[in-house]
Amino acid sequence: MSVPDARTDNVYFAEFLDDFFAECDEHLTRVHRSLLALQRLTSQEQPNRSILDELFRSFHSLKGLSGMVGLKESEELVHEMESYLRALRQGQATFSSAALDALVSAVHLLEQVLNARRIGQPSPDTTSMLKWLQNLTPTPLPQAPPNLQPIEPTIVGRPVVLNAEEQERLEEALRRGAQAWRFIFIPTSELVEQGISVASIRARLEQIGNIIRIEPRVAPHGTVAFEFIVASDSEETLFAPWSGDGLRYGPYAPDTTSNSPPLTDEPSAPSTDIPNHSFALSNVVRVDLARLDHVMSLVGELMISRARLNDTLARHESDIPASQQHTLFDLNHAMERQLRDLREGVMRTRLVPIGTIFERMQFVIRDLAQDSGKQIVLDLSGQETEIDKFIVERMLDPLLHLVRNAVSHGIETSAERAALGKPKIGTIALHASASGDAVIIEVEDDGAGVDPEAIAARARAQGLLRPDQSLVAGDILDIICTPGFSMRVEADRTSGRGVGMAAVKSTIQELGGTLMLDTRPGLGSRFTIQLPLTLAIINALIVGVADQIFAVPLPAIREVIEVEREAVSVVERHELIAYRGTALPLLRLAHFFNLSETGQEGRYALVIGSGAGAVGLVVGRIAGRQEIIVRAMNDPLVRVPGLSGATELGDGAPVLILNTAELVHSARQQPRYERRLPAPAMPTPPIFAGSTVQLRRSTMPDTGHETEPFILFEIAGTTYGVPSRAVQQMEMVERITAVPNAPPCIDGIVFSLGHVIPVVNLRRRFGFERIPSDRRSRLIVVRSGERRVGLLADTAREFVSISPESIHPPPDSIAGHERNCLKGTALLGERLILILNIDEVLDGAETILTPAA
Amino acid sequence: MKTVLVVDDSATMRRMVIASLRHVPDINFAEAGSGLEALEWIALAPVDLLILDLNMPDMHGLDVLRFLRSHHTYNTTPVVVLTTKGDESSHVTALAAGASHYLTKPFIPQTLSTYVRELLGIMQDMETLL
Repeated sequence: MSVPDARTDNVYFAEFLDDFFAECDEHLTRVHRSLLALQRLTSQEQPNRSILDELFRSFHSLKGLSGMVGLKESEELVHEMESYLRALRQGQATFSSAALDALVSAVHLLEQVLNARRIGQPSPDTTSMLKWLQNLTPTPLPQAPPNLQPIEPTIVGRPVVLNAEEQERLEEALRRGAQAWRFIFIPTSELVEQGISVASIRARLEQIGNIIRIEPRVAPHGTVAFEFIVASDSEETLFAPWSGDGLRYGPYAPDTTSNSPPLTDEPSAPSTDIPNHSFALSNVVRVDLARLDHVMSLVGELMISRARLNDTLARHESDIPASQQHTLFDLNHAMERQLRDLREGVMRTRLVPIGTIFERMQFVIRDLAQDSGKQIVLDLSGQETEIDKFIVERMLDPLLHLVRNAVSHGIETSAERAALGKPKIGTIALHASASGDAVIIEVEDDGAGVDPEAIAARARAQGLLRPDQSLVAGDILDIICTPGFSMRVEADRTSGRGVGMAAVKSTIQELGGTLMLDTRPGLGSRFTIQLPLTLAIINALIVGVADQIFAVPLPAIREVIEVEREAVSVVERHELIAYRGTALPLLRLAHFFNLSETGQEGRYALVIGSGAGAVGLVVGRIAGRQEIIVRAMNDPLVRVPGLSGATELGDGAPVLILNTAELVHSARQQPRYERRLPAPAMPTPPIFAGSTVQLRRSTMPDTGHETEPFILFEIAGTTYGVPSRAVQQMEMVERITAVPNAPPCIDGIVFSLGHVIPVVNLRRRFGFERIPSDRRSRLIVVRSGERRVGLLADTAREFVSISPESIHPPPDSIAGHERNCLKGTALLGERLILILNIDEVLDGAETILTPAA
Repeated sequence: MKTVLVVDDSATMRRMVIASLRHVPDINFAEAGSGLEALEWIALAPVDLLILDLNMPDMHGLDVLRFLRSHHTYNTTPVVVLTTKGDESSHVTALAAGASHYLTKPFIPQTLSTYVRELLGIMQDMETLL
């Protein structure tokens, strides 16, 4: 937990973190676009005012938002960038490529700061960057006081007078052949009902030219009007029909001394046959990904219901009167088809163009090329190719790694290239394309290619290849993707920073994709990545291990083989089985997950991975194959190695999805998993149940006088309370799916509101004995920042309001560990209420058992 | 019921402002993403109080404020100006232009809700709830 900022209540705004990050992403996309535009300027050109304005505004918004969520590092960084831009706009600072470098680096650092906050890591250090930025900005001159003249309540008629800067923009547009127009819009309720508002009018005017100035005016009868001065090179016929929408216009005479020509006449009653297609209004809706996930899971549920209906119909076919059969089966098939269309339609809403991450590569290459003294151009194509939002985000790091590799290992220096007779400037091409249900991304360079001999030598040195073994073309990729393999002895800036090709490959595999390499020594390399269009629904194999069911993504499974006990040999605690001429190491999932093997012994092995990296995951039975909806399982309380998420198979109970890449990794790292008993750090049962406690006078800071609603519940006869604003949902306890290897007080997971929710058993958390859930048990789903966690209580009591001054520190009889979990106590009549500190309750629950080394 | 119009080009900031005021009884919220939309809203529906960001595209918050103060119908509508750290110099300007109160982001939610209660004449009612 970070220390709450004393000045701002950043805990208060923690619930807006999702929105905060979403809005930061939007601003950063805009910032990147503006920086790219600045980069394209030649050394003589001075940046365009509108680019600076847009950058300034994005920084300004980012600063305000960062301050509100208490993210000091980002607030300071953006503040310095904003100060530089302000000085630049006021002509007190100069624009240079050095300054641009500083901005680019600072934005990069800003992204790291935001990302660190997003994943709960400490922020990177910003002090040297702040100094660098401060050096760019001269001490600001005192600002001229803004215009304090009150606006004259003007009657619409006389045109507005432009200020110097606006006048300059207008004249520049006129020189380029535009015409100056003056538009007056008077909003009315009727127009707004028809969707014609000042915002939509503004959007229309932006389509036909540059808006130079917008001024509010007082129209006759005291209503509000807006005057727009627009420089446009569009034909008047384009906007003449708009006068039907309450918009009057006329030419604008820039010379303020002469009389402006009159406007078009008062509009007649708005007609409905105005062509609306000649201008594009903004039709984009921003939707939280979680909502789309929710819709997707509803579709999934619908599909499961239809599958049941189908079964039932087939079973009772003979009972259905022949006259009805035809209609029923036709309906059933129509529904199947419509459901498939619906699913596809929902999937499309999750797609975003891949161009957003392609563009970031420009900066990376620019930086790296500068450092390494190589000359490189980036060739982008297919940026408009759409792919699932989640996949795009996960692919950023792998693509960065491939591009970095292409710069550091692929492209030669200009001198080397000249000697080889290649063009002096190297090319890295990023290409995306869609093919059916898959998206293909290619990263290609015209550099040196991969030298098989060098790879073989390095592989032999690292023991990945026997001295007598030679390298087959297809092995190159397997070898460079082996964890720990590196062509460099020391890591340099551009590559080898621990991400590695192994991580690239495993990310792609986790996403259900494949990676291929085509390389020609001397000519270059091409990595081809094939990814599914969307992740939300995947094909999975449903398997049983001991008495639990798991889902395994089908694309990860190469083959399923039967495991005969006699065929298994044990070498140094590794279990191996002969498989296609090699020895396949086995990982028994029952052991890995510490499940008691009451069910069948492992009879099948799922072969995951290929070549030297293959592993067999041993399971008890194969229950079938099914399309499943993937739901992420990210909460640290249930973030257990080997599991990636959960799904449901129709009965409401979550089924865990295996993370095959992690399992393969573990299998190759550790020979065997031993059960480690829970650390005996469980608290001893306290204390306060039913006891009378002497209350002390409040020493808590007086934070205000408002009362706050609390929800009360009971655990082992004691009443606890949580603020109701932290509670998202309260529900009966349904089926909880146990999560193997999770901390001892975690009962498992449930689905609530489309999310995977870890369930903290409060009895266990406070050291009481676990009791079976019954009708009175309640799951209280609380939000803490971005987390949603279920607290399992014996029963829920009631809502009460408690004022802050009646909350007192916990009595001294409650000590140590217990005390941390309490924010305080309150007396409600005769009843003592213990107010929970939710963050502490969750933090302390997090002692995760790890497999024994 | 009183109507509070929250004017800010950041949707997240508008939600934060509204969240800060959620315990103030008997108020409705309206939102505007720009100064233009704010003035349109005011022209078409009654507004009892504005919470106004300064640095916005198209029309600066100060222009919105000056327009309101110059208009015979809106010159008494209370306006709380909310702006970002670094623009402190606009403090005096905003008050001179007729702002009722001035707050800098990051602001303290309780301060904002106290200002709003005070300007709307909504007294706190502590005893009724327990």
